[in-house]
Amino acid sequence: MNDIFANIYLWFEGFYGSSLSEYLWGYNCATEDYSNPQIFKQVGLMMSGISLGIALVYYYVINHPEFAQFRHWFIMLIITAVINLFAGWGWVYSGFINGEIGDCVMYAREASGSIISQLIYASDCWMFGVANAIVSIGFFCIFSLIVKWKSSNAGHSPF
Amino acid sequence: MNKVFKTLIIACAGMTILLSGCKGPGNSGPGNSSPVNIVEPAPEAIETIEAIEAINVYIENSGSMDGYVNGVTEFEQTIYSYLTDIDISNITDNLNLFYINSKIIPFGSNVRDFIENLEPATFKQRGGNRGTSDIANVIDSVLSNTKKNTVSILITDGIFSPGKNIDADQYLVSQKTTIRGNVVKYLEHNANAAIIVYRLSSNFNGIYYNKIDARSNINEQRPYYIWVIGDAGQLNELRRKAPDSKFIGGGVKNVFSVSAGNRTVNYAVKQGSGEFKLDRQDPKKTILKWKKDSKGKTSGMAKFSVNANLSGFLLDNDCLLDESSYRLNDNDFDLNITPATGNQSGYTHSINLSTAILKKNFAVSVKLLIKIPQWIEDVNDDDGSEAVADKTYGIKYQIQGVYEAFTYKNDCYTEIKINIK
Repeated sequence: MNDIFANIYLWFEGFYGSSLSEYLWGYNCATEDYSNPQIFKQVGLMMSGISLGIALVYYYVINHPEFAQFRHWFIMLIITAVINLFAGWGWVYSGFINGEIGDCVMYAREASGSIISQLIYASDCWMFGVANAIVSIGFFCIFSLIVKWKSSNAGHSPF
Repeated sequence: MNKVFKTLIIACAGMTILLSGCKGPGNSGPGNSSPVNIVEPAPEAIETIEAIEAINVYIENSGSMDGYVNGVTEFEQTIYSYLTDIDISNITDNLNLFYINSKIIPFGSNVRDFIENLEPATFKQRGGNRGTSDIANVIDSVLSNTKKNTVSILITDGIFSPGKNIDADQYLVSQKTTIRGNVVKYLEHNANAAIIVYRLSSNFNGIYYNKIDARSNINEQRPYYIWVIGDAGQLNELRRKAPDSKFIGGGVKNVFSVSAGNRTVNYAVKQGSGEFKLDRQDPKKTILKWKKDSKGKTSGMAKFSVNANLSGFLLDNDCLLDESSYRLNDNDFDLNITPATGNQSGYTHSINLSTAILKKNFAVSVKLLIKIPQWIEDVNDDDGSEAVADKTYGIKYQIQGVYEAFTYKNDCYTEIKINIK
């Protein structure tokens, strides 16, 4: 249960790379175990909250008969995805630029200590944002199906 | 409807900006854009070593040692310097000096007096049976007096003297067996014991006694040995305060060291050292989804490295970096050892493994072996008829006796095991 978000994000590991994945799992270079906070879980909870929040806004705050077609629901879906793209990117990128990503997952080094190659780039943070956006699309669909029933005007949306 | 849209767009833009800079709990850290690991370092592992209560120094004063103390010699200068370094290091409050042959003769604690009195006449005056060198007996006497928190230093020419009418070959084997038995008994009460043997060289001007006690006058360089016996942690500390590099004169020519084996050391698979995932339940010792490298110099090979702390064995770096010091449980693996760098866990060496044959559901084992270095064989004189430059009659039997005692129950210092799933 603890790893449910991580296992979902891992379907898209090819987008953002295995090195960033280790950081997001919470790998601690100093203790060589996964004792750092698991960022997959943190981002997953945030993504779920955003997706649920936007679904609730659509069905119970906006809840307008002129905004209850499939295309309107789709607009909300896109908004969810865009917000989660930036949210996912922002969360990981702040760790990237603040030097919070452990050296052992950030760089491959020679035995002498000199850097062979950098393993995580800013573009990987963007790709994690993309992965977060894709996952949020799925969550938004699921939340829509769960919460829509009591909506007086939009309950038939998306279908 | 337009109002709804406008409200929505403004709300979304605001949320996007807000969440882009959002950080969760536990993600905060100091700002740092340079490529350095700033995750809070693991606390330094501090090994608790008890203080050395006494260091007892024994100089063998059998007749064969006279040539080392005839006049002012490198032997005297080197011993004086070494003992002074120990004395001023404050590693112990009790530095006790003795002569030793068939019995132990105390001298006191004044290093300068001790050295100034190192002359053949004084050696003779101190007494004991100077006519033979029963090395096994000397070592046994030293071991018996090496109590808990005591370090013993024995200075000897290391030459066996079986005497006339004794089968020399049988004598050497017998001495080896006796040494082995005595060291095993010592280890039973001192599980963390270690022995270091330094080989040095000095000018020797005096009578050389061969294996049948025939005499010859020589004036040439001859080897001598300093044995250091005690707890491994305390010997490590002594070596740190009076390092090998500080021996004056010609310095230490060779070192043999051995400590109790079958110990656990701190080790972990090195993140990013190959194409694999770490098992989150056991990230230090288990790898999953191991694959061959697809690019670069190691394309087609599957590899990983293990960082380990091998500092506790009194072995020098040449030995630890030598692949022949290790034994793998699978010949399909290639092994290479390099110094460990850039880690905060006190690792000293990286054990680099690679193979062209991928294995799964397998445990690869690397054992650091207890070995006798080649130099022992190189400096051993098997004949004993005359003084051979740089060689010592029967020295390998003494070392073999010690080696067999330490490997009585197992032949490796430690084993590193990595599971491949």
